[in-house]
Amino acid sequence: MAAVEISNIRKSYGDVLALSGINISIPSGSFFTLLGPSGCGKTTLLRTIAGFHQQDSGGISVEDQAIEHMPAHKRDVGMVFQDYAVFPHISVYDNIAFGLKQRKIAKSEIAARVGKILDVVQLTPYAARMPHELSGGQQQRVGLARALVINPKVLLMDEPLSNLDAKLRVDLRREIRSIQQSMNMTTVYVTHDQEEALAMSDIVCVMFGGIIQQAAAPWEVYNNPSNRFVASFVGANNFLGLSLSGAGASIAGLAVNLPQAASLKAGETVVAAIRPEFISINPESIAPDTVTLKAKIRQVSFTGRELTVAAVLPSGEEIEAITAPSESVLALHTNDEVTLAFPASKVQLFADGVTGARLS
Amino acid sequence: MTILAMSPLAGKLRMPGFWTVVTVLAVLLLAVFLILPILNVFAISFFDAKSGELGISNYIQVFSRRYYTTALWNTLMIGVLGMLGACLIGVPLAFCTSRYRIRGRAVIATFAVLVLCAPPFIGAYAWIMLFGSNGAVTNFLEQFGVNVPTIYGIPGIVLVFSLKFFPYIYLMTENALNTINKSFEDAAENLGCTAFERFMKVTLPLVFPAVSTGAIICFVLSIADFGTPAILGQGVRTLSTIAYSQYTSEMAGTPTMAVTISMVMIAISMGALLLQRRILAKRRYAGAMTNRPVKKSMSPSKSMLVHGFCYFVVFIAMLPSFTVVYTSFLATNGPVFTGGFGLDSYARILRDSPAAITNSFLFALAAVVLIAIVSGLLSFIVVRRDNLVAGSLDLLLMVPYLIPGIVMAIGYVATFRHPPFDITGTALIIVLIVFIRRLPYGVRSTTSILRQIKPSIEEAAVNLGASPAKTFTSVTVPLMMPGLIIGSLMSFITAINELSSTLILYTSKTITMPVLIYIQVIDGEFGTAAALSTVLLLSTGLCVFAVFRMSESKESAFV
Repeated sequence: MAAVEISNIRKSYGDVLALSGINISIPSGSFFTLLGPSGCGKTTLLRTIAGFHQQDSGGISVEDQAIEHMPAHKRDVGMVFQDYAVFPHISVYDNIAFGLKQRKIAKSEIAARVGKILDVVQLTPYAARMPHELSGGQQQRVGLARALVINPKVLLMDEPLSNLDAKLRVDLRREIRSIQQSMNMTTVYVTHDQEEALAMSDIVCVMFGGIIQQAAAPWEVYNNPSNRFVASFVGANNFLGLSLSGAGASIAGLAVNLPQAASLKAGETVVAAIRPEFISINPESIAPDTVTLKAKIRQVSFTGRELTVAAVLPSGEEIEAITAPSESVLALHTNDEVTLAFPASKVQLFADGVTGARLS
Repeated sequence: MTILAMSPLAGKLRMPGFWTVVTVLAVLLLAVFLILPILNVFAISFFDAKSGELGISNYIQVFSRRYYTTALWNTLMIGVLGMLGACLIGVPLAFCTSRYRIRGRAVIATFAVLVLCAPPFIGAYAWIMLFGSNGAVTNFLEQFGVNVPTIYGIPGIVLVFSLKFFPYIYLMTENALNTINKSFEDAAENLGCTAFERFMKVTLPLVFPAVSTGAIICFVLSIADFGTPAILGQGVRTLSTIAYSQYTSEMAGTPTMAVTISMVMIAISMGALLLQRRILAKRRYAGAMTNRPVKKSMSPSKSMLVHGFCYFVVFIAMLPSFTVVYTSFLATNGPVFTGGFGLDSYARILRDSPAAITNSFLFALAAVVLIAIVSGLLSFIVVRRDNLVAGSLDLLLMVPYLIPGIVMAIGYVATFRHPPFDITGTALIIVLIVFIRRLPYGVRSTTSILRQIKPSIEEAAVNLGASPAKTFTSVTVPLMMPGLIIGSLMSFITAINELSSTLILYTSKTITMPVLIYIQVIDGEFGTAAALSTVLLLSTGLCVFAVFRMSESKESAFV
């Protein structure tokens, strides 16, 4: 059963189209992430679900109830804010009890429910504190507890971790995910951090220009991007110009054997995408169906777990490879000639343009 | 992203929200009590004083008859000279306190604020008591055959205005000087400027927006002030004094000429404001505060000079207040000072005019309660609501600053004298006019604190199920409280000192302290006037103290 059903949402600010043709179906209990660069419409969409923006047209229903014309305070969707938005003038306990009081719930039940959720977010010792006595991470736990305690039909989270430092961000994201799973809480999560999106989500929905580019499982979005924007935004990627002529396909002037390019017409503008982790440098043996390219080293940088090698093709195109650290690669110098090799099957073809369609 | 596009259907299906209702009420309130009176005044000026025909004959009179042109000329001259005088005092003082280590800087700032908040006409009559034809200093120096230059007329008025309004320039300029990135001055010095060149070519241009904003306030207040030219003028007519005398002589009929003169005053104020905006539009200096200016210590002789200057300025500016307090404790018999000290003046005001004292406090408090409620709601509309009404409310709230009290009062009489809405002569009309004239002080304070409150905090309350009205009362108001209190204190200070509008609207039952002081000064009753003024000064001083305690930015809360 779908917990959240969004159909044909459109939203504009004057001449600027912020959202267009948004259709989403979020299964009950799943963690659904809206991922995209700033200005892509992800926060606008989240705030439209919350009722802080009014859509121009389209429908939103939660558990089969249409909510698109309901005032924000009646929607029963919990929200966690980027800047915590913890009420600074009341205690942690009163912050968490706020929504329950609005629902006229008996005092004894409020105490029980607040106590339970304080336990879940590990803030029980802080119940009587004022918000300014808490760290950023603790404040965000209050924000989370406050939204969860009302048992919302759906939980909305607007970049809840972006104001925290890197280490805390990773800890808290694991915690949020495990709380979400244990409560089986349908969640819509907004982030611009693709690693966060991949690590936490059941479904990642990549947005750009107010349009949904792809919505699928993290694995699928990474390995099977539906267009060039998704391929470039999620994970690192190399995009190389692919020339098509009667003789076949070529990259940077070198003929390449790509079966997936066979059906393409000569003269079409196509880019070939290959992820850096699939590229090996000066391999000892070359397997069949491997694409090889000549390149000049620009820079080799050692980041601990891996080596990042930046190189330039004869065409002037830049290409990046990520390999396990090895002494032979580390010994390379700028302008050394190398052979880059990658399996032809890993190459994905896209039409030209920022959101060029997948061709293979 | 300012236009909120809503599908027409969605708008019709929903009940009008809380804030829509509040916005409509706010617009109605301002329309009836602010715009309507001004429009009435405006309309009256276009009907000929004698024949009643529509046209611009009144304006032709104002600009052609000597009686009016002299007043117009005097007003402009007083405005410009008062403004320049205030700049000449305020800018150097600001430079000294912001660039040098001054002992007792807090005292200087506090005195400056007290000068600002003291009733404006106190200065005028205190100077008469000192330097008037029978003044203390005049009489003292005459024993030695020294003739003191006259305090009456334009020089006296300009002196009083310069000393009264310089704190606006001082406080604004000092604040600007304190927030200039020191690197600019360092760069100028590094490029070979002498200290004086650096000040003229870099520092002064950078603080020009602040200086000019302060200057324009001084100009507008100078030309609108009624008490000072009325008391010190002695035959020098200004637009505000002839507007008042025309109004009182036209009592039976329509105050056509008074109104026409008033429109000219408003036009001058608006012209000055627009001119300043135009000049400022090209100068926007936003800088990162990376390198704060440092205060230098001085050589002993220079230090003496600078300290002497700073203390001299604020002492002279405070002199009227000191004089008034001193005078209030002099023994009197009727209007005559009998020598020695005594509490006769206080006994007399308590016996003869307790109503004026209670009225003043009651009216000011009533106005402040209204201001607090309305400014809380208005500032929410202005800051949080993103629509055309919110933008125009923001502009509309500038209007009371520009409309002289006399004009507003004439507008109120013209608007609210028809039954069943005849409220002339009641306490209500005084409360309402003080409320509308001082509302901007409240709104400015609540608006600035609301801008610091993140909207997400209110959204969180709404998201948790609180209705917009409930969100406002349970989250916004508590967070806005410091701004509400400061705004209320500021409007109380200005409300209790209101003279120019109440002078036209008062009756024997609704007389207030400032009005009574004015009447007593005109009648030469300096003792009781001083006692009443001391009461005003004391209540003003207490409010200033409270604002100092509550506000983080201290004296900059006052400009």
